[in-house]
Amino acid sequence: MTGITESPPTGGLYIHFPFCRAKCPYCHFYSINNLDYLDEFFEGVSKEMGRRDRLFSALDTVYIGGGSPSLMTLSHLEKILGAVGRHWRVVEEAEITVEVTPEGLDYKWLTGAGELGVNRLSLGIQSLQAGILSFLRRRHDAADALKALEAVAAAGIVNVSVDLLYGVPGQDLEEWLRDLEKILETSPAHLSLYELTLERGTELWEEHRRGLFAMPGEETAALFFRETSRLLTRAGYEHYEVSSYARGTSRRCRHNLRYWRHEPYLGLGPSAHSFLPPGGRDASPAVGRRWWNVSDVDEYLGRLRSGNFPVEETEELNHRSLAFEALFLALRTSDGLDLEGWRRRYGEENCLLNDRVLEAACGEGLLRREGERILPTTMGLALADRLAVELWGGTA
Amino acid sequence: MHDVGLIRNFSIIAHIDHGKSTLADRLIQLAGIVDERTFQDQILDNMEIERERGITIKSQAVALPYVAADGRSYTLNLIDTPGHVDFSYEVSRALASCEGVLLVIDAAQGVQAQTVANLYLALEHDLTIIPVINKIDLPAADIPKVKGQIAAELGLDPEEALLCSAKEGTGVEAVMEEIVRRIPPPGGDENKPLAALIFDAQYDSYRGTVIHVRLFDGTVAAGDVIRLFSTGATYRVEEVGHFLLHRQKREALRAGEVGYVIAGIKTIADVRTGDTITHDERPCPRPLAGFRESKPVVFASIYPIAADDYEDLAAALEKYKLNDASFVYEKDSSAALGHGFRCGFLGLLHLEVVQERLEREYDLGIILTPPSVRYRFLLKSGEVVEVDNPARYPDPAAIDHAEEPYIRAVMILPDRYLGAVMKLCRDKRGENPHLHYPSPGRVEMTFEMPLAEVIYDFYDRFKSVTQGYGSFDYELIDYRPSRLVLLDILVNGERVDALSQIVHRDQARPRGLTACERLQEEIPRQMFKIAIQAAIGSEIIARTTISPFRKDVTAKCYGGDITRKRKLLEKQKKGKKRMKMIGSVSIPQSAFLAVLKSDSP
Repeated sequence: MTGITESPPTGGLYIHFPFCRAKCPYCHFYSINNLDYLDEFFEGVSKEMGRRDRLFSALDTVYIGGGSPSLMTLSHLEKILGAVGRHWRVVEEAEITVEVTPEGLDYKWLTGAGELGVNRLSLGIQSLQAGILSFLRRRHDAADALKALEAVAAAGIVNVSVDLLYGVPGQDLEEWLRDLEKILETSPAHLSLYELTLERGTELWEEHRRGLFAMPGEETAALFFRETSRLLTRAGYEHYEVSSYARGTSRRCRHNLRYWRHEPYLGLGPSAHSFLPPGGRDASPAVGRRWWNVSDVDEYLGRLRSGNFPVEETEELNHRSLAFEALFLALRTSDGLDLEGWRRRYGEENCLLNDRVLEAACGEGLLRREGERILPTTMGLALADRLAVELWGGTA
Repeated sequence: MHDVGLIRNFSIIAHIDHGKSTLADRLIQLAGIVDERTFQDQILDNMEIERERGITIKSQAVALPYVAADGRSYTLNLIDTPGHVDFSYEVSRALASCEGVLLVIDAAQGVQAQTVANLYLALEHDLTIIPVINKIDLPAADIPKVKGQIAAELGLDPEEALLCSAKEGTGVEAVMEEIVRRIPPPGGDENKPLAALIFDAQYDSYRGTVIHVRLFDGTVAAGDVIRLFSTGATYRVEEVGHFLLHRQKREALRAGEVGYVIAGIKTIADVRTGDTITHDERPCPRPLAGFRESKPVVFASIYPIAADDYEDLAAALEKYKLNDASFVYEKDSSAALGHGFRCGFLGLLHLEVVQERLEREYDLGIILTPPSVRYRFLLKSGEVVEVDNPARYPDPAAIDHAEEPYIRAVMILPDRYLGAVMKLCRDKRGENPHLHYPSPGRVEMTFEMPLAEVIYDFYDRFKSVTQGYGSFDYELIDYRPSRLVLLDILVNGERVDALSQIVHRDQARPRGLTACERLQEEIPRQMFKIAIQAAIGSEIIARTTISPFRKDVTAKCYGGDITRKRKLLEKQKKGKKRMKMIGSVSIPQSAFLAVLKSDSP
């Protein structure tokens, strides 16, 4: 007889829908614009579910991202959520999110999605300024965006998140804050406000390299960050992660919190990432495991057809690496890091902090201490990456 | 058959860049001991740093077979000498192993400061001198003028000078022939007790210490029991041989020969370059003369960046010391940097060479503190203390007066730079100038200056104001009264002892400000505002600040970004390891030496 068998944990599921009408010049997520693959894609993802369903006993978050998942018809959505339901028990209060774009978003699709169980939408508005939308080469305008928000409300989906970008070349701070206020009039449950980041391999990155435009400097970015946080906080939002704001703790994105809390998640579809913390069923107890799928639909499907996992690379994470990850992830969130829990989870010897830096960071108002917990201030969130590197006292 | 008549031991000496290494390469090539394919430029300068800087630091030896015009086969032992003023002691050791020298003079530049200095060294050792006018292929070559200088400035017979172009190979064969003809064969008696001079030593991780020797009397062979004169320690010889680019084992070395001895000496501290080797059973009556003790004049501390590397640093210094008799060190410690070593150097270049070699050859991340000279404090109690480490600065209340070392600097330069150099020397507290015009258009200037001023960016500025045309040499003369203070550097209010300097009272303020400005440039921005202050005691005399980062976080971090993000941050962690944490501030290695650089071009 074997020893005690742990029952698999409750997990989060991410499905990467890799289709777009056209690639946005700043986006570095994997996508293609050949919709011929759609049917095969759904078969592939179902197959992959079959290979992976033992990892979790139940799901409490499902997130369909992309790509442009709003290209899915209701029958596609039904097919995929139906498959999810056949492979896992989806808990009653599960958060089921779909990323959508404003263009062509209609009442019928929204109500249909709601009936299929979708209870959260992430709406990629990006900006209300024509100049900025054109720089980002988005195909909608401000009117479409506001119309989409109305349609979502009419369809009765209250848990909606709005994606906006700041730090775009030529963007004016006052104008950005006015746009935010306009969005806030619709009282979205959640906002994801991202500083535009140039990623290697994207069109914008290439254009910037050729000197076609200049990015705002660090001081400007810091100013936008500060003023944004101030406005949203005053409006009653909780700045709970570097780029995330929630109208109350219950409106936080539970799926994203999994990433920042080192909780297990499974990613399906090309280029999707998965993570199992140590002690999980499919990982030996000593290490965490992260793997990601190949970033190619053809290869993804081919591997599944031939009975293989479509994994590009698997990485085993020892407790020292996990401790460092946990540190930099936790410092992105207003909850910060519970030092006691951290040490208990990854071992005292792996959780190394430089006390002098900790003391200085608290003294300079980057961190607060509440008992055994360290919490970044707004200034601290703006420096989260550097804070993590400087605070880390280990040699590796 | 051993015939000392077929041996010639010689060195090449020259002013820097006059073509010493190129000539050495040509001689090696002509001797046919290396094929074209493996022929590298400047074979004798086999250390990377030497190659990059184009200077010779370590002496090396090579035996060149040569069939002379008389039909006999000779062995010409070429003993290379260092070419920089910091290394005159090493030059003296090499020269003591020779009977003659080639004095190389650039056909265009003519006699330079070090040509003269090297000539004097050779004369001190009573060596035969063959002047060689090199670079005769240059359009600017002026052979009659150089011959004039050889007569007037060196006091040698210009008709004896050989003409060659080492670069093109012309006249090099004649140089070989003249070495045989003019340089006397070594004397010595192989039947007398062994007397061998250690002129260099290297550490071989397989064989232990490889001692480079010149035998004056006697013979030495594998199995002999030898004794090192200074320590009395005895060893059994494992192997002897000579150098043909690489070690070539032989049965024995005899009087007059140059070669190596391996005797299982593991404790490298037992070998002192300059020492005499003899036989244990039948020792020579007294050690060989001709060597002088090298005296360090510049002092600085070396610390490992990572405290864990202390043992490695200790081992590296011990090994390094074997190859550099002029380098001295002892343990030191600092509140800011932990355990390290206080080291003495012959000059600033020597210091930089040691630093680079430790980093490259031993792969160590080290921090060097600002160099200092050795000051003398006369205390009210009547006691005299010598201080070369700012950490040992006496209690100011106890000091009656202080003295600092002075040098006599000898500079030769085209007279158009006279004004600029005069001003530089005056700025450097120089006094008592003397001018002398050895030839039209050139001026030889002597100045008495505090040594501390010379180590503080003097070389760079001298080279700059003379556009590289000036030459510079110096000797220590005496100690003179001075008004000194201890200049401290504070980072975020915390005194960094390793950045303290002893400076002249009048220069404390500008030095302090310069140090603060340099640190401001060298210390990267961090999460917090960093205040850098210079202070004398409790009085702040200069201040700069480094503004902090305001934003340093990626906007998106979820899903797959975590692995990528971790790798990126891990890279930053590695970069941080190359810096020293002082309190909560990371200070890069470069900052410690940068405080000594002034802002003048």
